[in-house]
Amino acid sequence: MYILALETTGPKASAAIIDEKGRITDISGDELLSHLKSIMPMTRKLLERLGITMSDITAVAASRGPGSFTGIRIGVSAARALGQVLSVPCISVPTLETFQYNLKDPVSQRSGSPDKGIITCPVFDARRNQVYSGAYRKDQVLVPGGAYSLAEYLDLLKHALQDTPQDPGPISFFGDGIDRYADSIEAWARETGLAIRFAPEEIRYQQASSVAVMALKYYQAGLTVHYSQLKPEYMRLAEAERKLREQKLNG
Amino acid sequence: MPAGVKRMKDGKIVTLAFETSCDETSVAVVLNGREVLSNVISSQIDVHKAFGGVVPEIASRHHLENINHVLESSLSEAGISLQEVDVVGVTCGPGLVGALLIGLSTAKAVALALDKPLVGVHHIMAHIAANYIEHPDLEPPFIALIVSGGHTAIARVDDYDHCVILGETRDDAVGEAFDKVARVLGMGYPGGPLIDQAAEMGRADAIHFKRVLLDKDSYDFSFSGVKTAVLNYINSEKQAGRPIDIPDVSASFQQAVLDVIVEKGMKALRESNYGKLAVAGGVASNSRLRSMLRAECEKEGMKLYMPSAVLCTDNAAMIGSAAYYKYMEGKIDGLDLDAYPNLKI
Amino acid sequence: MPCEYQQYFINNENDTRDFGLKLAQKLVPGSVVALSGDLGTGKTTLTKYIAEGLGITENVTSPTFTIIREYDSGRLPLYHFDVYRVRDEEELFEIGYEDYFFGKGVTVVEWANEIEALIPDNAIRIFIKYGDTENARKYFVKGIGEL
Repeated sequence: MYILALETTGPKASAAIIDEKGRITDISGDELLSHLKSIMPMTRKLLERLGITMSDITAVAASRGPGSFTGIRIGVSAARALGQVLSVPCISVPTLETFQYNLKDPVSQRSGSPDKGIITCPVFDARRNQVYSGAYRKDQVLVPGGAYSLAEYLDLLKHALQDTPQDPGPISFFGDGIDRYADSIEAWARETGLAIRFAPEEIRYQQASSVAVMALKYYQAGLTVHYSQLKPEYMRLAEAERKLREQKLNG
Repeated sequence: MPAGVKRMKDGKIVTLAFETSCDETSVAVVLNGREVLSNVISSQIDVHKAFGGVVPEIASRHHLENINHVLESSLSEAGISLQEVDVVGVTCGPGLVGALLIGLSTAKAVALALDKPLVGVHHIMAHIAANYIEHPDLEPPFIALIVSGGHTAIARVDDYDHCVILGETRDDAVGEAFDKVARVLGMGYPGGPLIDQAAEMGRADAIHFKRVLLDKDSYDFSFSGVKTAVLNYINSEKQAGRPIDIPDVSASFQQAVLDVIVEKGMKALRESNYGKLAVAGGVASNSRLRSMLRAECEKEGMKLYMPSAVLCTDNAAMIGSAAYYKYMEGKIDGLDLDAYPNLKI
Repeated sequence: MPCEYQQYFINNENDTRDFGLKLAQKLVPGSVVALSGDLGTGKTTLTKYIAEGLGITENVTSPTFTIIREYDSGRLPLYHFDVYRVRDEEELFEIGYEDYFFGKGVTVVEWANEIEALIPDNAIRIFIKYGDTENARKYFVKGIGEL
C-alpha cells in the first residue's frame, strides 16, 4: 500500500511516498525551479527509487493550503488528475497542521506522533500585513488555522496557552512568516514572558514527508475524498472583510 | 515518425488535448490530428450533466474546478478510455499563467499516470491548426491570418510546426478594436458579432476612417488609431447635436479595419507564392471579412480556408491537432514543461 | 478633484512619453500604478511609455482580452492589467491578482476605478481626462511626489 503526497504550497516543492508501515521516501525541489516544473519529475523519481509504478499507488494526497495561491493550485490539480486517471481516492491535508510532523528525528516521525510537549505555531506571510497561522499541540487545536493580523494571532495564542491546564512545552514557530516577522514575535515573547524558538531552517518549511504522515493517518481513519471533492483552501479574506477587521483592530 | 510510435485506435494516433489559456476550459480527443471525436468547452457544456450526483459549478476561468469534469465528458463523448490515449497535448503559452498552469498540471499528471508522451503547444499554432481539422485537404505551406480578441498576426506556415510571424499588432488586437467600438456605440458584449450585424444595414463608405498601414513593407498592424478616430467622430457628432447612425459607423469602421487586414494578408500571400490562405481566430467568423477574402482570393486564383464558428474560438481540438504534428516530428516535451505567458513562436 | 492630487497638462503624445519615462524612474518592486479614464484617453499609451522607462524592449499591446500581459525584459517585471472584462473580486482572485499586486514587479492596472476596493492604499493613482484639444489630456495624479 503506497500513498503519494504532494506538497507545493510553500517556498520549496516536495513529494513523498509512504507505505502502510509508515516508511517514507521523499524528495525536495530546487527553490529556483517553479513548482509546476518540478512536481511531476520528482514524483517519477520517487516511483523509480521504490521500484514501483503509478498503478501501485493506493491514494494521492495534496497539501491543500493555505500558502502560495499558485502553489496550492499546482498540487491540488495534479492530485485531482492522478486520482481521476488512476481511479484512486484523494486525501485533503490541511497544510498548517502538517508542521507538527516536521521533526528532525526520523524515529519520532515514523511513529507518527507529534512530539508530546511542543506547541507548533506555523506562520505564513500572507502579505498585506496578514499571516496564515494556527497553533497545535499533540493534535489538539489551540488556535484554528486562518488569516489573521500577526497581533491578532499572537493574542489568540497567548490566551489559548493561558487557558490550558498544563505548563506549555516549548513554543516552536515554523513557516516563511518567521523570515518577515521574527522581530515582532520575539518582542511578543519578551512581553508575555513565554519561551519560544524558531524551527531550524532544515525543518522550518512545508515538507511532503509531513503531509505523507498525516495522509496515512487520514487514510487509516477512512478520511478520503473523491478527486472532485479535493479543493484548495486559500483561507483568504474577501477584501471588504479584511478592511473591516483592520478597522476593528485599529479601533 | 518517431521510433516505437504505437497506434491505438483503428491504427490511428489518439491525442488527448487540454486548453486553459484564458477564459475557457476545454478538453478534446483527436485522431491523427484531423478527426475530432470530442471537443468539450466548459462554457458550452450542459450544466446539468452531473457526475456522482454532484452538479459541478461551471464558471468561466474556474479551470481548477472545471477541468476534471470536462475531461470526463470528453472521454465519454469520444467513446474512448484513458488507456487508448497515445499522446497528451496541452497549451503551454501564451496566456494567463494562473489559467495555463491548471491545464499543464493536469496534463502532466495524466501523462505520468498513463506513461504517455506529453506535447506542449503554442496557442497561436493551435489556431492555425484549427484549419487542419476543418479542411482535411489543407497541408502546409500556406499563409495564415490570425485574427482574434487577443491576437492579430500574419504567419508564413512553411510546414507543420514551422512557422514565421511576418507581422503582428503593435497595440490593439482586431477583436479588441471591434469590442471597444461596440462599447462606445452602446452595443453589448461581445462587440464583434454585433458590429458585424449592424454593419450589414450600413454603408461602408458613409464615413472615411483612416486605414493605418504603417511602413510600406510592414506586415504589422495598428488599430488603436482607428479606434480613436471613431471615438473622436462620435464625440464631435454628439457635440454638434447630430444623431449617430450606428449601422453606418459600424460599417465604415469595419471596412477601415478589414481593408488593412485583407490588403496585408493578400500581399503576404502573393509574396510567398504559396497560393493558399488560411484564417483563424474569433474574428474569422466575421461575415464581411469572409466575403472580402473570398472575392480577393477568387480574383487572384488563390485557395482560401476558413474554420467553422466553434473552431474559431478557443477550444482543445485545435491543440490536439497541433500536438499531433509536433509529436510526429518527435517534438516531445518532458514532465518539466512550464507555463510561458509570453511564449513566442 | 481633491487637492492631494497634482494636475499635469498633457498637450500631445510627446508629453505622455515624457511623463511615462519620468514616472518609471520612481517605480520599485511592488509598485502599483492605478490608471483610470474613459476609452481613448490613452491608458495603454501611457503604459507603453512607463514600460519604455523601465527598459522593456518588448512591444506593449492592449491586455483587454487577455486581462494580464507580463513583460520581463526591463529592470523590473511589468504586469499590465486591464480589468474591464473582469471586475469581480472573486474572478480576479482566481486569476491570481494578489501574486502580481503584492509581488516583486511593477503592476499597472487599466480601469482601476472598476476595482476600487482592491487597489492598495499606497498605489499611485492617475485619473486621465480629455483636454481642450483632440490630443490634449489632463492627468490627476496622487502618490508620486514631484515628477
